[in-house]
Formats: sequence, structure tokens, C-alpha cells
Amino acid sequence: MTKRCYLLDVTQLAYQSIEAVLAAADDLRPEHELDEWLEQRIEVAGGILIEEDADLARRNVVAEEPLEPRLQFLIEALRFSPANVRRAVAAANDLSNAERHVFFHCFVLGNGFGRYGEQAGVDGEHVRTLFLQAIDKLSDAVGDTE
Amino acid sequence: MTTTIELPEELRALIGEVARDPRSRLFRFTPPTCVTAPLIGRESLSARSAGWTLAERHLLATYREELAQALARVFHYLSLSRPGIKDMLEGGRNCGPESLGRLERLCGSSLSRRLEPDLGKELAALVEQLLGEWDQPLNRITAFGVTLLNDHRAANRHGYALLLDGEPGKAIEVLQKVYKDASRAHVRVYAAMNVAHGNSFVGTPAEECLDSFLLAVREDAGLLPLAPALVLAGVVGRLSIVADLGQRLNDAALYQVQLANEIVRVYEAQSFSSVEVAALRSVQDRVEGVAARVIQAAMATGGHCGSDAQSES
Repeated sequence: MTKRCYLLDVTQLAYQSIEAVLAAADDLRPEHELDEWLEQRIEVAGGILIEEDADLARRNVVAEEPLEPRLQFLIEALRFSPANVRRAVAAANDLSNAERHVFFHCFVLGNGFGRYGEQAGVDGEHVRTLFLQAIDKLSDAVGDTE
Repeated sequence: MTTTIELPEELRALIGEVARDPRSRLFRFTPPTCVTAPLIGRESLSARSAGWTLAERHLLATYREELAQALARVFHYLSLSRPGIKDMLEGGRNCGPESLGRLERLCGSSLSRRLEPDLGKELAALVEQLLGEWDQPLNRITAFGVTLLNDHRAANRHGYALLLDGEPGKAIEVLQKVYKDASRAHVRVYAAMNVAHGNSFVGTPAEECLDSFLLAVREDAGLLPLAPALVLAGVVGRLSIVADLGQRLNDAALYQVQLANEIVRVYEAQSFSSVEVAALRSVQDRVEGVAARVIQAAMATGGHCGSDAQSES
């Protein structure tokens, strides 16, 4: 997940990662590279959480107080409502690879388009386009805001 | 803990532009300057050496099961502070099959996979009974955690549960019987450890508890292979302190740490070579490191995109 820029609840990810570590603990062998092994477990955990988020969105589960920081962020920054913000999260995680990276770097992490474009070796205007596509997809998934 | 971050001006302008576009479904609004930080735990992971040392490889190969159990214990302790479990346990007495299923899902499948079928049923019944009978949320949570301690001996778990429920006399009685009757060394050792906990709860001086425990386990020829697991119990103890599970459990955890440290001392003095003791300590550190790193890494995950993220775009 570290490399894939998904929008996850980090606390849940921590717990889910521990579960994933434990689920695989019996298979841990001395020949495993620990970092690689842990990273794989965290990926498994992230995958489960993405599925759970998608499920919550499909079932239109309203986000409850206290809101997770990622939900609060989307509500404040894009004026989504607690009733539909879960759909925005699911849509964010369902973006194309390029859109998701731009969305995460430029919006979630707050890096500028130009800076990210330079880092990623992508034209700034293209980054902007990808960002707009991402916002459109989130808006479409959410429907009417407020 | 919430912190705010500033939205870059160009981003605000662009969002505002999108919001003003009649085709956009975004609400017409002016994006705020500051918003809640969407991610926490952005600190970079500290660098660490990769891989296992030779001594660690040997210990991991030899004591893999103990390591898995130690990790399972880490999880059980941590899971007790998890909101989903806590809410459910504090939510009331109704804990039917559906709730148990949810608990199991929350706890991951690793434990149930390792449990023997009969023990699984026994566990379900015991959890249900404990949740139904005990009034204090902490006790219910503790009961749940205790029943999940994967030592494969219900009586041992029951004794420990009694202990934490404030019935040390009964607990000691149960645990002493476990110690006397158990054929497997690790069951006896855990029972002896819990008897020591019980004795400490009824006011026996800590040194005396420790001595009686050490006397018991020294006589147990089967103890030696358990050393890593017992040392790792100290790690779990520390983690349970971190998890802030309440004073009573913390007391028990502190005692466990003390015991584990004492066991290391005994081995340093008597049984293990200095190389083996160093290796034990190394594994202890490593397990602690693994648990900490899993948490750290997961926390950092949300805030960090690796270098290959750039190449993917």
C-alpha cells in the first residue's frame, strides 16, 4: 500500500496488518526476507480494508462520529457529506493507477502539481488533467454533494 | 489526535474552478485554506538491517511455533483495545453465534485455524459464558483475551481468568491442579507462572512469588525449549502495557516482564551459553521490533508513497 497510494484508515491498517502477520506467522521461515515478508502482509491487509471500504460504500453506510481523519479531510476539502463520503473513498481507491497516484500525492499529501510532475517525470499539465479526472470520478461516485 | 494541513493554493484554485463548472457535481463552494490532515503517522521508518542473523535463523527454525504463539499473544493484547471488539464486548450480554463470528473475523483467522475443533467449541462456550456472567467491561474484555491465549489448555485459561477477575484464591487452586496434573511441560510452566501471579495478588512478596516459580520451573526438565517463548512473554507484557489495558492487567503484565527478565537471568547463569543468551535476547528484540514495525509501517503507509510510485505514473 505504501507504494500504491490507497486512501486507507491507518489505524485500521495497523491492526489489519497485525492480523495478516499472525495469519501467516506459521509460514514465517528463516529464509524469508523480513522486510519483504512484512510488506506482503501489509499489502494483504490493505487489500482487505479496500474491500471493506467498497462494501461499506455499496451498502451506503453513513460515516459516524468521530470521523476518521481521511473522511473528515474529504468532507472539508471537497464538501462531501458523512452520508456519501464513503463512496468517495471507494471511488478514490478505484481510480486508475496514474489518477490515484496524482490524487494521493497532489491532494492527500498536498504536493504541488509541478513538484509531483517533476518527481514522477510527467508533464505538469498532464498531472492537472489526471487530477481533474480523479475529482470527476469521485464526484460522480458520490452524486450530489451536500 | 487531529492536525490540520494547508491546501496548496493551486489545488484550491483548481478545486474552486471545478466546483464552479456547471457540469461538475461538486457543490459550489470555495475550498478552505486549512483542512484536517487525512493521514497520521507520517514519520519515516527508521532504517534497519535486513534479514536474520545466523543465531536468529537457528532459533526461528527451532522455535517457530513459540514465535507464532508469541505473535498471536501480541495480537490478542492489542486486539483488546480495538474499537470493534471493545464496543461489542461493552455492548451487553448478547453474544450469540453471529457476534462470535464477528469476533473471530475481527481477530483474524489465524487463531481459529490453529485451534483444535473441540477447543474451538469450548472457546466459544467459554467466551459466551464469561460475557454473560461478568459485569465489568474490563473483565469481559479480559475474559475474551484470556480465553484466546493459545496455550491449548482450558483449565489454565480458566485459572488465569479467575485471577484477573479478582479471585486469586480460586485461581491458585485451579492453576496448582493444572501444574500438578499437566503432562506437557509448557502447560505446567504457564500454570506455574500464573500461580505466581496469583500469589502476588494475595499479597505474597514478589521475590517469594518469583522464587517459588523459579523453583517449580527449574525442576521441569521440559523447560529448556520454552525459554524463547517465556522471554517473549516479556515482550507481550510490555506491549500490553503500551496498549493501556487497565491497571490490573498492567500489573499482571509488569509481573510477566519481571518473570521473563528473571528467566533470562537464570539462563545466563546456568543453562545457556553466552552465545545462546545473546541469541535469545536478539530474538526478543526482533519480535518486539516486528510488532513495532508492523504498526509503524502501517501507520506510515498512509502517508508515504514509495519511490516506485513515481515510475508508475
